[in-house]
Amino acid sequence: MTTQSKVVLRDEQNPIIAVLSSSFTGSMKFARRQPIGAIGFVVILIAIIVAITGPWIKPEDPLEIHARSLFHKPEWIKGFYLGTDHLGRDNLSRIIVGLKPSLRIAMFGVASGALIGYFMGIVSGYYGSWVDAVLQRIVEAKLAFPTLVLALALVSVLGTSAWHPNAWILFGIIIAMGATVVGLAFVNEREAGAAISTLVSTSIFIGIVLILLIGLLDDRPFTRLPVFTLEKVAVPILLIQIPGTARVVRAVTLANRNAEYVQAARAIGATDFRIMIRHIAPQTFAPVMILVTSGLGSAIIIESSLSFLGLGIPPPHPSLGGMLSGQTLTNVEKAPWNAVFPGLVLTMIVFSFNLLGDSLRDHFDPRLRK
Amino acid sequence: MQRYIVRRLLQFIPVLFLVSAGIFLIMRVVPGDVALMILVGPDGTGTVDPIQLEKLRDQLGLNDSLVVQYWNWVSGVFTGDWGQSLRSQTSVWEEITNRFPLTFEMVNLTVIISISIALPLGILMAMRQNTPIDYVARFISIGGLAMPTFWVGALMLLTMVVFFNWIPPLGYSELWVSPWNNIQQVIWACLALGYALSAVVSRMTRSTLLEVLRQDYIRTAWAKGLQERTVMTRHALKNAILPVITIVGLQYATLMGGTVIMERIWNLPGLGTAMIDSINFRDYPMVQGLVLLFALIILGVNLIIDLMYAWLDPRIRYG
Repeated sequence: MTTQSKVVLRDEQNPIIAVLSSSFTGSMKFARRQPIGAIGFVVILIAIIVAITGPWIKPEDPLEIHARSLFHKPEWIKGFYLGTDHLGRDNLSRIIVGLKPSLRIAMFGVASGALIGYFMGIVSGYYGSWVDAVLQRIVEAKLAFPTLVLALALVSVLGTSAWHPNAWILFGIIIAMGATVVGLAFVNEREAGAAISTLVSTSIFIGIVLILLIGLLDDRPFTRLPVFTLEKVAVPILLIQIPGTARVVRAVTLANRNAEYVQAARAIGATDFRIMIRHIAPQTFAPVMILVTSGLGSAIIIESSLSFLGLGIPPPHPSLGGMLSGQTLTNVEKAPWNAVFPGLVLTMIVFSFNLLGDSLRDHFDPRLRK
Repeated sequence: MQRYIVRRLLQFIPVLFLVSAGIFLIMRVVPGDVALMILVGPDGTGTVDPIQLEKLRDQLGLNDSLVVQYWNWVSGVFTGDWGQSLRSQTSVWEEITNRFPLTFEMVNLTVIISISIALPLGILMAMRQNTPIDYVARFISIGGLAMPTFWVGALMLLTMVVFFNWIPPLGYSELWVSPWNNIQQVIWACLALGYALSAVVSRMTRSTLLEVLRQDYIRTAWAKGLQERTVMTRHALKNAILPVITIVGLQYATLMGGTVIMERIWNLPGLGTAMIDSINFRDYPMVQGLVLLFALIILGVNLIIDLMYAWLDPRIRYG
């Protein structure tokens, strides 16, 4: 997994356009070689679009109780396309609306967890010594701690309610970290001035993308930025993501720490920070991308498991995991559609994430190529 | 070998310290007062007298500083006293020994099921890489990752009930009391979990086998004119199996978490049910004891697996 992400920059080209165009040609190549992975990506994209446009495309109010049509069968002619639950609430609307918190929690948790893990991994792999020893023990402790139990315990500490953090504080940190990594790694440094301007424009770009995504996935999109909604369940998911990422990044860093090209960089007087970010970080992009993709899948599963146990998204707000619990299970013979459809949607999304992650692995790992 | 085992056991200490201190701290900052919950009672009808509450808190040691409380607990664990469950008023150790056999049975059955799904599937995928067979098998295996276990379990039961008119026997029966009933109750949870676990294992089998199959000695084996079966089982699989076993060990943490949710769904009185109930009741000693036990099991399993390496692969020597 040591394929280097190549970004070819021409001298006067805007770095953002360069990154965009090279990632476009890269994804075209990926789509040709791994059609299944591309299908997975399309499904994810559709899910995100449905989640964002949910408030406008949902056929009914997901919280409205239709007392006359409890356990209504799925009907394709009029209304209740996927049936109703034990309170007569429309399943289709609940699924559409429930997608948003699931995706929001998974994306925020995994992205920030991966970024933190990334920094921990690269620092501990590069410097070794006590930093490394401490990190290794933390990773081992996490591996000896059943994931779901950790999440359960943390959720009972934090509570299940939504949270309204100020986007700028939280995302300032994340944007700064992400921008430093991506910016510095992709910079075509001819002169310092150019480097700084690239870094600034890249961080602005990443910032806009993140704020857009978070804003779009908010409960009431863009009405109250910079404050946004985030369920507290995102915290255990964030913590769970850290050790795995840190371990993988550490392994890659260790393997490259004394490589010839790193020694060469050191010989011409590059600083440690520059070597880490500029020379080693690009090596880790492929494995981290794979890890994050499949991490998103398992994050959705963890979130739905917690909601299933009644510790995720608090009812009556719809969530895919919550829709499968309680009354749905006890009435599964009477109204199987309640158990089938939310699970099917959940499976499809997680499936797509895993499909994408798998295909990325095959795509980037030269040893698996035929 | 002995030195290696000792070194590994010494490495357990910081890990166990982190795990125990972690769960200890988490349980202490959980909002909700267990003394209050005991006094109010399970149905919430009891009356609370502030003096009585304070006395109970004193009795439970909740008024001591955190360091003292942690020290009391850990020193208790070392002397074999895992504390008293606040919920059932029995000793934690007794509760654990009562519930352990079921979880032990479930975990082992799950691992057996998952390996017997995963190995053939993984070998098939590697042998027929990038053919329709590979794609179908990959779909099946990724399905295990994508479908939440609680959903698979529920669907399995639904199919059995609707199409075969079969209902699992009510009331839990222990394995040695009535094996057939016990298997009927446990098997669905284990099948669902085993399928989920097999996804990880079969994908690992596929990728390590693919790597091994590219190596020179495999080409030699083919060149000698050996049959595909011989090449796969005698030459390739032998070298591909090590990472597969490692991944099974690493999945123990997920597996333990999985039993928590499955036991909840199927109403099985194992360690997982105890875990959820204890977390909800703020039963500190029980949660701490269970987490410590889980950590010990996971660490122990991974140590055994590492030791098995030397036996499986004669090239590996531990000094």
